[in-house]
Amino acid sequence: MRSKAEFTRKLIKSLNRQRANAIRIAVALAALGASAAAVAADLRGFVSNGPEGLLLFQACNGAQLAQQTMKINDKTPDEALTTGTVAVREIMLDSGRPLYVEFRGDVAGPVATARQFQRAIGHVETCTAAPREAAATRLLASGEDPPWRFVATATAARLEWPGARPVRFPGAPFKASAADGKARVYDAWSPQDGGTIHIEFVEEMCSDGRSETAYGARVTLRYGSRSFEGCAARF
Amino acid sequence: MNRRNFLQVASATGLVIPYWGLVPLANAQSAGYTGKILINVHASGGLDASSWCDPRETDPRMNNYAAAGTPAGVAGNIRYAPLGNNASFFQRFSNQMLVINGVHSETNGHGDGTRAHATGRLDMGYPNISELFASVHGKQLPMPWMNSGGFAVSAGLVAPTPIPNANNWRALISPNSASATQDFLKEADLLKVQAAQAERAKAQIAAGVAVPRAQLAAQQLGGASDSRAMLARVAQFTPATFDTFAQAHVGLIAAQAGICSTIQLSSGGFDGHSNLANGYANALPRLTDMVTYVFDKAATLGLADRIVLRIYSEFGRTPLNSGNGKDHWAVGSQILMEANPAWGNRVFGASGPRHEQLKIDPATGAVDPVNGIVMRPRHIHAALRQYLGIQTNDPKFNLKVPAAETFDLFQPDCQDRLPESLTTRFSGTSTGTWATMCPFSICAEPTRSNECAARQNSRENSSNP
Repeated sequence: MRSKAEFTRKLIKSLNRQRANAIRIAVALAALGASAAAVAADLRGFVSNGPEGLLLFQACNGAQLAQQTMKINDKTPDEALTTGTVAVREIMLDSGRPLYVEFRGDVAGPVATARQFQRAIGHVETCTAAPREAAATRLLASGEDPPWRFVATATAARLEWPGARPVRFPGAPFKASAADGKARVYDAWSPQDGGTIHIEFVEEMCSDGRSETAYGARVTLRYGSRSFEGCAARF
Repeated sequence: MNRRNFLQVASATGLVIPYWGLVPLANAQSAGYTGKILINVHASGGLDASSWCDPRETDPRMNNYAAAGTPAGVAGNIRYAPLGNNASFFQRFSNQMLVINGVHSETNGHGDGTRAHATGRLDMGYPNISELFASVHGKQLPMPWMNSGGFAVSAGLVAPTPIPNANNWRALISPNSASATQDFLKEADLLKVQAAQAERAKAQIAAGVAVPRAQLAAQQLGGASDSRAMLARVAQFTPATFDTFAQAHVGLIAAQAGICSTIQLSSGGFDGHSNLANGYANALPRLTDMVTYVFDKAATLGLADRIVLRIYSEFGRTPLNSGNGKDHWAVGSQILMEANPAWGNRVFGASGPRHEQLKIDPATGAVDPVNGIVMRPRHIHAALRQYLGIQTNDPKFNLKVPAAETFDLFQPDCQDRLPESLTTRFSGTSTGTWATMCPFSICAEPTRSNECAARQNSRENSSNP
């Protein structure tokens, strides 16, 4: 009888020790994973639809498509990446084929977590055919009717539209909109070309429904008396 | 070659064999089809109207040729973009074509646009006009609707037959052929085997000893033999080698042999979101060369007078974007062609300076901002159904086009105003009359026929409550 109770006590003690070790190992792994996941980066590549609504991602490493396929964990506001890819697929040719995407996020093992959706394009067929923006680009917004484009780095910005000389601006910081906490604004004055610019960005999926492209933010731009609307791929 | 082998060959070649091609003896023995041949050509990707038959040569935002100052071409009453082989194509065929500009697709999506222009409706469940045509003209044929692209979902009337490549085509129509010059078995041996099989089946049926299922199998074997005989008839029209546009060639051979009444072809490369001019430099000649080939080949096969051909796309395209391409735009164009039509050398409808949608007078095709109607695929299809004699009473397939919206595409005598092409050339506006707007003799004002006037009255009455 005594030996049986002794055996049970030893067994429980052993199990507790094993459980404590397992917890210690799990905590250590989680800490390791967390430190790896903390590095956010601009990711670009192709997404395809997997089973049960999964989005699968193959990154572009320069001109090469990575061999590894990752699952996308869409943590963008209102799942903008997912809704953006759906919007593009609704109008693109051969809508089942992989779709080029750019987003900001982090990679941990086989999972890419998307934090900020930048753009999805339906008619890009290879990594080399994808549009490339300068690494220093902080803001990239564009629209149609008339076509316009605004590009900003940390030190300079430029507004272009047909039939007019480009307007140059100095770098300016983002600020939260006083009227709407959701929007961010960019204000600047052009000492070289004259005029003030006011841009509002709202982080939500934005598509014109005709260019087979969806973006991560909706943009309203005012320059002098002119007003432009469009979408942004960097913001 | 028995029925099993025949079906094995058919499945190996990827062909859909309609059941009526195998079973009904009477149908298989019927004469080949000799009526009109409807050919639908889908310009896949969204063909830019201003690179095609609705040119814009003054606005550099619309086209590179406009920026370069290159004028649009003119062939008869039809204007065309100075790109690809358009000049030779339109100069040659202008008298055979009706250009329809300003058609609103109701969508910017490729899939939806393909369906809308194939069926006439954006909603699902409507038959492709090829399918409807095949169901009326040639349902008894082995392959009434031959398809090599575009919308191919059947509404349940007739199944499409994918056009096989040249080798598979030969394997289907002549299963004993190893190549154009060699057979698998000696023809004489094969005939003996087939004759023995037929005799045995006939004897079994005559003796009445077979159970019903075996009798049915024997009848089906007989049906397959007859259908095979009909397909074998095609062999005499099949050449040793096929032309560059092999799909079109195969379709025309099937039509010549009388086993097919409608052919659906596709020519791609028109989804020019970036550097449109580069892509269209190849895509446009490929399209125009294919259509030219169809008419040339049809002439050599003795089919030219039977061809009705339609060129359409999912939608049109926007002005140039920042990547020198063009994005999706719902308003586009179509072209209808026939050998010697009474309705040729005409432009019906119009779009705005940047292909904005305009309201069109259904009788004249002129712009009418007040009483006009936005022209949609359903209107074109309603007119085509009537012209081709394929109207259907089936409520499921009703295009829901009110009488007041009947477009007189095929009634040139109703077009008593200046065509859009000429008004754009001479005045930049689409309103006005012939006498004041058109300085040339070709613009002599036509007289409206009684029939046309009656139709107009009917339309006005039906639109009044």
